[in-house]
Amino acid sequence: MLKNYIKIAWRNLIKHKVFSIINVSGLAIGVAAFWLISLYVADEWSYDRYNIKADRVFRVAQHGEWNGGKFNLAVTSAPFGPALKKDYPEVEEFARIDAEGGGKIAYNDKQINEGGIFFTDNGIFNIFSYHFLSGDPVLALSKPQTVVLTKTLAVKLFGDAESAINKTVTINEQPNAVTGVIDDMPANSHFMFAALRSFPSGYTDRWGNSGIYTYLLLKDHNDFKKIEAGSAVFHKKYLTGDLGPMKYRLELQPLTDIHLKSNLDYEIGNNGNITYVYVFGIVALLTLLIAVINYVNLATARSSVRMKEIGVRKVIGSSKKQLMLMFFAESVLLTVIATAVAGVLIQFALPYFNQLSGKTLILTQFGLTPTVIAFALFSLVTGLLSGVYPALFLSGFRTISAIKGRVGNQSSTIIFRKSLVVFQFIVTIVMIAGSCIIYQQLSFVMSKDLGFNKAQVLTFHIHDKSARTKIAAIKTQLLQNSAVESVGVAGNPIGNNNIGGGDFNLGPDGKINPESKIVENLVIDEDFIPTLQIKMAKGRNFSPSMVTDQKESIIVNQTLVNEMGWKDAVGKSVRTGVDDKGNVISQTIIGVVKDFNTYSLQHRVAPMVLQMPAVANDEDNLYVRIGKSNIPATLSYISKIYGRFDIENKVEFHFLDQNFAKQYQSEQKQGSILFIFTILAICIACLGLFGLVTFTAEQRVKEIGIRKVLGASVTSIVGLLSKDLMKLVLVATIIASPLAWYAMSKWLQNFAYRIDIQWWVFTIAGAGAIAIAFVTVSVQSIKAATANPAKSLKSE
Amino acid sequence: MLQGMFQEGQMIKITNLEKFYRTEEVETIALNKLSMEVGTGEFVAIMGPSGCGKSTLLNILGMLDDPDDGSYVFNDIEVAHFNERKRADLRKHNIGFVFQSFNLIDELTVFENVELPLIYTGVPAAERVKRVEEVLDKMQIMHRRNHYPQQLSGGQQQRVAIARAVVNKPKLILADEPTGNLDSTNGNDVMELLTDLNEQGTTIIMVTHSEHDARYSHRIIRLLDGQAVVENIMV
Repeated sequence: MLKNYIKIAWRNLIKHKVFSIINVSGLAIGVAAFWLISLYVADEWSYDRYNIKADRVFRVAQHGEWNGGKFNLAVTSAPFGPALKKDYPEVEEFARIDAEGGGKIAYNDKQINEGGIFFTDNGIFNIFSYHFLSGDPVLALSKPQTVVLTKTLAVKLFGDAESAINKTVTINEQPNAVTGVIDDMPANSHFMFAALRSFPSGYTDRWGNSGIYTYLLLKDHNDFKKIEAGSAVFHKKYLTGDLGPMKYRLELQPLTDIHLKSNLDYEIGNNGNITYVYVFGIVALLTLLIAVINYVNLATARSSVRMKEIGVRKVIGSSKKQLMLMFFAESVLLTVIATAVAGVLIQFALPYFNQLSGKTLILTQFGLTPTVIAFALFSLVTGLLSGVYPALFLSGFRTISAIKGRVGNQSSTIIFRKSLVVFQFIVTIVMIAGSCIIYQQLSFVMSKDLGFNKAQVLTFHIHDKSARTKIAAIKTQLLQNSAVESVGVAGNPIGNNNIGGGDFNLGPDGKINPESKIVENLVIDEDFIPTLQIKMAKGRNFSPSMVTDQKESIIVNQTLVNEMGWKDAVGKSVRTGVDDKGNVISQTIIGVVKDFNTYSLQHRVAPMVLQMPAVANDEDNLYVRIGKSNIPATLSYISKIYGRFDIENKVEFHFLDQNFAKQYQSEQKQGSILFIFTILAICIACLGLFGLVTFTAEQRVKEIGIRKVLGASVTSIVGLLSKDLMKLVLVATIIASPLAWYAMSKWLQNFAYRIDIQWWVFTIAGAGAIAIAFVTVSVQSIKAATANPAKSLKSE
Repeated sequence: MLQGMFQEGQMIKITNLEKFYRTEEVETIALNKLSMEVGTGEFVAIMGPSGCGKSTLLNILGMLDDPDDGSYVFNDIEVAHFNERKRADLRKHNIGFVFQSFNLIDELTVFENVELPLIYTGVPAAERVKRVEEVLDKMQIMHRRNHYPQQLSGGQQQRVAIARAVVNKPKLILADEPTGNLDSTNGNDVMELLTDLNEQGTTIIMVTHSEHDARYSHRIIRLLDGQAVVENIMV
């Protein structure tokens, strides 16, 4: 019986080639897109789940809020882990990570600069599942000055992983015994390291000095609630001294949530974003749905062709169930073929997709057998889903009507079919509008005036501490080249979204106020403002001739002045901190700069204080404005000069405009992925339209013939065939516009500086869809309209 | 009441059968309290002008349609109010159909078309091959077994259709103008085939416009406005 079904299904596919090709290609594209996104989503979801105890592992995060400020930190300080273990019997194990353990690691004459070395506690091996190639996980890091290498680093240092054990390497000149070698970390981990080294013995630090990641292994998953509930007590017991009174909350983040759901300050690595996973998932599902709809639409539209066959089968003795099975066999066969084609498409598309998503996915990401099973199940389910309506609809014909061809296209089916087409185009138009708006917003952020001139400015970090004391000499030598226009210094490179804040006690009247305010704090020299071409609103820039500037003066930005409600800020004295002896430090505002963005445009300009460097060590980022001509020569000149002051390190250039552009990478990624899916969705939806109009033209061949004999023009016939479908696209535009507006308003909220959505975007999206649909439909309509009527009438 | 002449057994007995067709404004009576009997082994022709109810009667007899009122007893079973599934079940084991337009499935070969009823009644594959070959042989179209319907002449197509109708060895064959689309030579061949089948014991009810064809039957029932008006017994 099954053989019979498949046979018929196959012959039907072969006989109606156009429809088969439309269906197979549409479904294949849909399936391929869906599968790629599934790989992506599954990979995102798999983060950290390889850890056997994952469900009991948590990271400790801190949230604080007070009048004038707040923090949301992924980091804690060193005493957190031991204190939590002591206070809560539910804590089975803790491990702290200090990510700043990297530097020069050397063995004999082999020396490697490796940033990815973490200080940690031995408990880490009890919490995370790392596979030891040699060494003892129970004791590996239990002593100070020990290190566990990953295989890759061991091979780099020793040539092979086996001989590393028990050797002594130096890390930043300090000897460390290699007590273990582990396999490289799986890529789906929220942090990555090249080696782990033990903390110095008795390592601890001030409570308020947050810079350590604390991971806990609890005895039971639900124990985290108890620890979170004890936040206030914990704060009172340990933190009031360092942090002062505030609304304080400990958060225990489940390990498996960190990658997708955590977005705190000072994350240990680049996390994913659950929203993207949802959005991409929905987009993929919709693309697949559009392809499935094509099948349903074409199958039901063509029902009149199948009617006689259905009638005959019923007369001969087929039950409704058997007929349904036959139609299911057809749809499943089609999806099996489409899935196979999709497999090939995926293989071709993966390199590009990996480039786009920044992953290294392969088709058989989850093993060959599971992939084959998943493909088989997937094609079966998609086949059944796309076949269910046609099967119910076609097998439900009344026998006599069917055999006499009297079923016709019932109005309910026609409405159903039209609704599906409208749905397809709603999705397509929302995607077109979405792509347009993302493109507009990204062009906007790239070209918006940031309050300074970001073109032709590069920054680099001065690695060597002694070089930082010779800034004046470096500047002088750089400026000897006429291609170097000006050189400034600051404590941070701007545009990387990582400038720290500081507590400043700023009262509305400029008097000392006990309530501090967190403001952005950037250390600059007198050349920074001219180099970046930042404009002064009031007052003056720092001046080397004013000896008081270095310690007693600050410059603030316009936002700070506005927030404080000052009429005239220049001359006001503010408390900016406390010195070692506990004396209040007050400084005087000498100037106000017009606002400039130091963060990318997702962020609003924050109140900001600019200070002169207190010590030479703060002067570690050079800003150089260079001329437009012969940039490579200028860069090599700068490298040469830098080399005179820092022999060991190489200079790493960052252009300011690129620094900022980098912050929009994830939005650009979203834009590109949405754009690709938009194109795919348009293609699939148009394939469906093409199929429908091909079929309509076939059905109305006689009518078209008669109309032409009676004098109808080609235009009027094209209009006749296209009109109905075009109306549907128009309806879709009307429904899609508010949906797209809503979705894109949400997306734009990621940006503090954003475009207003223009009504004409929807007009363009709709008009675009209508134009593309019209071209699709016209191809067949014109063919039908220009056919010789004598021929079509004779054939009837 | 019209009674069959071969009274070895009664196959069909319908009593006061009524069937209406309704549109929004008009109600048409297709069968008006029609009663008749057909005996096992009979060959009955049904004649009458267009719209007299011939096809409706044939559809109800073939259990493709149900009557609005009245009784239909088939082999001592009252089937008038059977649901579709039960009717389909009874039909596939007992009744074969032959149509004016052959109604072969274009996507299937001659062999596969004839095999189809056996598949639906769950006959095992080996047995199917045997029976299909047997019946194709009998219809003298064995040499065309792997051809598709479009590759055959009208006469050949109708032979395939008859082969398909009889392959399940039905007790009753319902033929709806079986020679309507054929020339006279092919038409006569088909009538000979039906006569042979009847002589081997199959009951045949045939709707026809052709007096010539009707003469092959034992009895002609003439319908007018949904009622049986005349009965001719052939000698």
